[in-house]
Amino acid sequence: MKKGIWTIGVALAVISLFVFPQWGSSPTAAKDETFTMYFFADMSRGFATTNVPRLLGIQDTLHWINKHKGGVQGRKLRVEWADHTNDLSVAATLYERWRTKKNFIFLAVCGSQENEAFHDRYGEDEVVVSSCGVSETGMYPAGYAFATIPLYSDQFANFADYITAKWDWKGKNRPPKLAFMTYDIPYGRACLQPLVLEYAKKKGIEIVDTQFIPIVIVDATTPLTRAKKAGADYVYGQLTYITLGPLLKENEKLGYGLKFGTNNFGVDEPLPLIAGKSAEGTVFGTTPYKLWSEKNEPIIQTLSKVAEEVGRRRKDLANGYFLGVANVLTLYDILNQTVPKVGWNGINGRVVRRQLESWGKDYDLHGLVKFDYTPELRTPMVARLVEVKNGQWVPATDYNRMPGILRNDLRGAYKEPSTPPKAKTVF
Amino acid sequence: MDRPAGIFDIRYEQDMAVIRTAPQWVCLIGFLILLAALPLFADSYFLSFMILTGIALIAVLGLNILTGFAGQISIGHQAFVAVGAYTTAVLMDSFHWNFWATVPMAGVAAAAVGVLFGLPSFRLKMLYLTMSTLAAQFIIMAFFSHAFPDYFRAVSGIRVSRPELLGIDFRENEAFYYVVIGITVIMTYFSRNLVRGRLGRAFVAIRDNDLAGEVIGINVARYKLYAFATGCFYAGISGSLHASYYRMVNPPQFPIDVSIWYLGCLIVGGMGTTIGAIFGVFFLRIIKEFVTIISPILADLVSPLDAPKIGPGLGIISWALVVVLFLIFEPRGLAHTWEVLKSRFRHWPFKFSI
Repeated sequence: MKKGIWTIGVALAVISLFVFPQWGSSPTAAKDETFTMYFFADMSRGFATTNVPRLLGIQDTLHWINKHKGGVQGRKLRVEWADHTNDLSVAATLYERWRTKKNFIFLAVCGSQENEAFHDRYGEDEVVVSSCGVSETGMYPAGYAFATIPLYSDQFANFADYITAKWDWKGKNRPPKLAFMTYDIPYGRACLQPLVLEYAKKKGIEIVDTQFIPIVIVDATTPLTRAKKAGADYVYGQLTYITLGPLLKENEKLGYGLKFGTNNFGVDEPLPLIAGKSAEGTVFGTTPYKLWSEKNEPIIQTLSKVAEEVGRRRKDLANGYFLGVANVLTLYDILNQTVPKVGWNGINGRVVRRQLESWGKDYDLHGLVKFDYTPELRTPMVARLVEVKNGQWVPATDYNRMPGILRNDLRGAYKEPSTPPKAKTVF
Repeated sequence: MDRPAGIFDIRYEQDMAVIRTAPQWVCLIGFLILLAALPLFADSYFLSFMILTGIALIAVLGLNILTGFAGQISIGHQAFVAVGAYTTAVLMDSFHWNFWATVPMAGVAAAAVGVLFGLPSFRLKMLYLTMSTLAAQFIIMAFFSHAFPDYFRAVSGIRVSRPELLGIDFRENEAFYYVVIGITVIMTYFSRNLVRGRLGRAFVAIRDNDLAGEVIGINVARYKLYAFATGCFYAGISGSLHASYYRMVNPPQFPIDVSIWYLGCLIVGGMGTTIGAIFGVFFLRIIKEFVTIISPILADLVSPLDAPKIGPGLGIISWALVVVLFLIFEPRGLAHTWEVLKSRFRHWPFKFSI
């Protein structure tokens, strides 16, 4: 027994020889030539399907920028990442660990929970956050968090606009009927906020049912039958492909003919693979991003080349991948715009935030997505509805401007503090 | 329990005292001074680690009273933490109470809810009682998710501000640390003392053999409810600090995973001992931190571009592995190892006591 313990001890010591030198020397070795972005998210629990591809997108884009563009303004970019396992206490200590670092200026996150919890601290610490968790209280009042997707309320509005525009009001002689089918968590219930329901009512949509379903749905028949019995024509939910797949297949099997609406997290590459023909023309989602099917788009051609170069499979290139690419391209543009003006030593959170606010409406991020970053706005306001055709996502509409559904008490421009910027160094 | 040579108790008070020797007093006072001086030399990261460990420790001490001392297994403890957090958040947000006044109220509210969910313990034991506490986790969280949306605001969450006192702003970790550590020390002291009094001895009697306890005159039903009330009071206080630390309360902050993690802390630390709860929380929180540092590095070593697929998950695996290994090799937890170490130290250079 003692011998066994000694063997394990020696093995651990040998491993540590390989591990700890890298841990300790990596930042030193990279000194004077890198800029570090930080990324934390849940990569091993419920949101892993979004965040692992997102980190792949971040790494691949960094690889592309460093290898093919020689970095940014003479420096290479790198990412320091960690998995907080959807545990807020781990996220909190991670944030604190990085907060003490002088070069902690730009953080990518994905999770409404941490955005809401740290919203005020981002401002106090002057850390610019690029986030895809777009609950309204996570993003607003306007501060240091900037979203890479439209607010969930706006995404619903985009779907509502589409179905009311397409509806045969005269022929059917009744309004379109919609059932909500979503997760019983704040992310899922974001489409049930009073302002969203008001918007649906204003557009003349009749809400006939509201149901909460689990992420992994074992029985899809019961909720679908209930929605059908309530007279629904459409089902809307803040769902991922994991849930949408079984729902679409069961909908086809039962012959209910329901049409589905979802947000950007439902617009995911695995859905056509899972749902097959049942997804064709029956599911619509909102996304501000270009699609992998748009092969003539220069950004898609570039990203396809990069993905091929590093050996990604199709299933690696899921929804979250573009979100990661957008995080890095945001940083890339910001550094290219600010470093020539203020130099590397002048880069800090406040400078970065001001530059982002100066982007204004419809800022084109390398043809991938358009952002609306102003002193008042923190989210993309232009997106389109997409659908599945021939086994891939294709546009169903042109780009539309989002109505901007947000509580009045959260509106308004960011108030500049009178204190000097926090001292930072990019090294 | 072993005692250093030459220490003889001649009164019951001496025999029951928590601190028995001068070196123990020196160690305790030194430790408290160290805790008090920590913000002078520790960085914000370490202080936040201590704050979060303190908040978790209060909850685990409560679970230790309920499960470790009284034998009433609960896997819904985080829901009672949520009761405390929501009490503080709603009282501050909707009724504009002062944070300091909401802290005891959070404990009382959680204790009241704990008593309600403790009622099944009159008729249920072991696995069946575990199921009823599991139900508590789901019922309470469903309540906060759906009931009184104007107060609980499940979708947008409730914003909570950190407290102020005599002009001191507790937004910075350096200041808030003293709030959490102060309360944690007091709660630890009460927990340590509890088991040596009438209430604690009744809990232990119920845990060891409730029938025998009833025969010697313990009102088992009443004391079980006392155990739920006390354990959940601790959870409520923990929840109140949780709300203030994160400055935001919403339902996903209180998942069942954390309830199970609390139980894991007790198993690793040593159930039924206060020192065990402390060891368990510190040990597992250190593991959590260590894994977040080490997993990207290990994954990078294997394949830098595929690191995101390899690294994550190590946290969950390592936590589960530690609990299983402790159940196999040291079921009495770190507290027992600590006792063995102390005993070895006292008998040195002899291997065993004579």
